[in-house]
Amino acid sequence: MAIRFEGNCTANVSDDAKYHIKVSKGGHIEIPYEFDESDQWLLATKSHPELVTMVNQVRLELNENPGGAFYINEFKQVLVPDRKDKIYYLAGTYSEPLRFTFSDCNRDITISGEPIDLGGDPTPIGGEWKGLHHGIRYTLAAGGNDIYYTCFPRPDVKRTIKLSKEVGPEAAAQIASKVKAIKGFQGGRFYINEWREMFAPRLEDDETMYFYIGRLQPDDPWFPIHRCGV
Amino acid sequence: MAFTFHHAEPKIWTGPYGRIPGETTVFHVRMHPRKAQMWPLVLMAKDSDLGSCWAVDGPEADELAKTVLKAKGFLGGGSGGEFLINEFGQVLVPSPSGDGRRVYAGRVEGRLRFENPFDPGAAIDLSEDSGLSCGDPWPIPYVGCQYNLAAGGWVYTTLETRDGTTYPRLQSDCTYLIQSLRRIRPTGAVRFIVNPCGLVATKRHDGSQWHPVYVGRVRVGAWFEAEGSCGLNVVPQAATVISRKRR
Repeated sequence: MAIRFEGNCTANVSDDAKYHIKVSKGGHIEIPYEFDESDQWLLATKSHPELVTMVNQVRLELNENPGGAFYINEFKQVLVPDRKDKIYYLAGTYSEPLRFTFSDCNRDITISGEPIDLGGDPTPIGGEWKGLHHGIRYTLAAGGNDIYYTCFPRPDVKRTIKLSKEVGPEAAAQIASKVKAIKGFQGGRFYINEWREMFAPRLEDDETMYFYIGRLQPDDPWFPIHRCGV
Repeated sequence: MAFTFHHAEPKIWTGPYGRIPGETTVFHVRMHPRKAQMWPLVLMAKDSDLGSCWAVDGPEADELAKTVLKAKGFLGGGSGGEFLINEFGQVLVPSPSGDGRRVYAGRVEGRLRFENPFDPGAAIDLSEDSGLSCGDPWPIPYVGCQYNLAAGGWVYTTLETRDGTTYPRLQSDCTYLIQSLRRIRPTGAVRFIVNPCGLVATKRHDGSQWHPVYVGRVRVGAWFEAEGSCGLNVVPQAATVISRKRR
């Protein structure tokens, strides 16, 4: 029986913010990548059959067709939203890194959730984020001193989980300050991926660009892992 | 006293419009996820949760939603949005563009009932205050029109006109209401709401947060006159705390 996940279920709308399994293509994992305003690449890999099986097992238990969208959160938990009500289910934990490598003329390019640009150079904190846009959404609260996410513990009820309640106001403000450096006092959404890399969209000259916030370190104050049924 | 809605063609409203900022102090029309149609709701905060309280099913709620949408369209908007219902039951719809225009879109009468997302199967009745005493925690959505008690001891509303903002005072004797408010907030200015069924609530600070508390009810003949000829939408209760005390 599929295990319902009631932690941070990000519900991203944009296709490039989640992984997809394409059954029609033999079980590829795909994710779109916005190279620039006019050019979108569809990255694909067949290197993770175990992950595909995990996601499809949830689909099977939900009586749904295999494939579809899934997420991996910062605790490497694989989350599968059902297709009808967008309720999230835990497929398990997957630790293998997902990298998408392809050849462009004479060079190999690797794109992942790591802070590395297309030339293979590391992205500095505050630099433009050139990695994948998939991730779990959190929000920097207005004022920039706290971080929260929302979840839906039951129909028609939205719950706001604040980091300050989990780790205390001072510790929350400490990690929030890193996000505030990118988002400013007004706050807003940012993302963290399975590499624990944080990045955020920001409007620059009427264009949404993404910027690198930094890596969430193991001893950084953060939300606890959500353990289903606990 | 069943809920009825008398729709009206949208008409520009120039009367009081006591809107408190925030999404929990107004009514909304939004897409109902299970009905797949636009439907009235009010939001209720409870600890760290925000519940969507959908209007209890019925043709009147359907008509209310459609009328609000029509009024939004009249003001140049379209897909849902917020609206107010004052204590006279008048449905007031603001412009979605934020240009300050509002229209009158009809009138509700009777009990307004909403589903309780925190207690599935139960309903929230905006006229229900039986068993509540002044100062008790407010158990229903904090939705209604804003009024103020001045530090000097008079009750007033806010009226925005072309010539500027005025603050009409309540001319009737409302000692009962002021005394109740002062039991909760002994000094200073107090903002309070009157909900669509004439119940009064305000907020009390517990040292770290403001929490809504019940004050009482406005009384027919001891309150502001309505814009237009209609009375308060006060639903009689078997016995309210205030009336028991008076006896």
